Amino acid sequence: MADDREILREVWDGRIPVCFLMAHEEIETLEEPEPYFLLVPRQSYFPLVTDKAHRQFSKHLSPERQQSAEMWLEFDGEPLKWHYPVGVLFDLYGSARTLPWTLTVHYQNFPEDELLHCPCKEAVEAHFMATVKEADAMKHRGQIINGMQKKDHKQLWTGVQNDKFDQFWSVNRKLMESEGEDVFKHIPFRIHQPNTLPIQKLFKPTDDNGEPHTLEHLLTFAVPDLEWPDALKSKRVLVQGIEPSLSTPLLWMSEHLSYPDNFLHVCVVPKVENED
Amino acid sequence: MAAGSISSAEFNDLVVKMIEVSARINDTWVLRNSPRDAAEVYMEKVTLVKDRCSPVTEIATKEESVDVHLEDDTDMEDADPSCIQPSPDQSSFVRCQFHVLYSHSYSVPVLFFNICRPDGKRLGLEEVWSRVPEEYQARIQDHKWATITQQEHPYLGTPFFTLHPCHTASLMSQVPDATDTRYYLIKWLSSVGPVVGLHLPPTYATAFDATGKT
Repeated sequence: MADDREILREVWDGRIPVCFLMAHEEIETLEEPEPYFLLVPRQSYFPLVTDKAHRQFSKHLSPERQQSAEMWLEFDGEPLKWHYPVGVLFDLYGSARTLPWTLTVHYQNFPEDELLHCPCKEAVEAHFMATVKEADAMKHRGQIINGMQKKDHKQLWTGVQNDKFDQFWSVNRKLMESEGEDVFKHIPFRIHQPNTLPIQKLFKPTDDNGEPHTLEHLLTFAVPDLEWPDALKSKRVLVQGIEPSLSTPLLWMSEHLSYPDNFLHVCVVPKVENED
Repeated sequence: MAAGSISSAEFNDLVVKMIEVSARINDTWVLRNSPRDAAEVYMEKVTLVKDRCSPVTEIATKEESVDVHLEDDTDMEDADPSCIQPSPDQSSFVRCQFHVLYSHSYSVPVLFFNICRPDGKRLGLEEVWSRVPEEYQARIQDHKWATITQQEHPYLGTPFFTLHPCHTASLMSQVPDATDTRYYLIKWLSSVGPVVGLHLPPTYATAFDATGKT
């Protein structure tokens, strides 16, 4: 896995240039706020990177509203689910657009039926850890995550929170071990498509004959209403912002292209004609 | 199956049986299918509860309760129209919606729920935590965030609260007669339900016996 460690680093370092704009109709001061630009790590979550933007924009709310202001983000009319990693949201909604990815910041009309509330950073940590645990339940019956000490769990989180690759991977490598007795029982994956709920099912890394499953096998199994590989005529399959060959072994993808939550997030999006 | 867990086939079977029993004893569990995959079943119960801003106490099953009609609750699926009494204190009732789904990741059932005020507004996380009964508060205090959080409902996509399933298998493996899967669902629900104010009448256990051998 030595060569492939470079890939882990490259994936970790992926960034999305984002422009945050306050919703025009929500500005309650005479002076309008400047747009806020930020290079956001793909592997992070929006609530971890929006403190400064929030400080800047909330100044433009009335004092009463500032008390209870809860920020939420929207792109093209779509409320953004903060509990999805930034890279997943970008691949799903923003990948066909020009950069920077321009998001609208809202403080009013929180979409209660679509978004989870994010009352504090603990909410993000709790969600992240629950997802990591679920991934290990699928890979190792939870034996590895449950066998770790609390401080190891904490280190996974602080690695993500503080963008510390070495800190994160010194613990995560144990969750990514897949040899001998530790071979992944099932591959933790979620397939995202616009306007539908994510697809998550149990899928083994190999078939009954021990042959490795590929990305194409996964898509055929999990998205059967599309024909693969024909669907590539009208769809793009994005993982960590790249379009891997459909013959890529799934186990390798799980080990190298998963997000820090240990899930392989695959985005299937419509192909658009070349934009000018 | 690993100790304390059940297969999805066993879960589906138990849910169907539980719905049958529920109908017989006038409880209000109903069977539902996931809108995106009819093979995924879950069960739902909607109930009105007196909210004292502290432990949630269920009114109890229809056969014992006074049916309450809330003017602005147009969604009361199982209201008994022949028995309507205006509540003296409508604002103190909340509507609880419970879903029991199967987690393929953990091979155990998992509880999703929402609690809404009469105006339809969902309770927030702190409000839900504060309603966990006294006797469970100590247990969850240190692990609040690992116990009850808001999540996306896997079939409906809307925000629901959920009781984390990661300790269910070990909890269930300690229950007597754990290998007799007939009672698995009832035992599980009796263990985790009370944490969120959901109580299972003891009649379920005896009624299950009456359904005969599997």
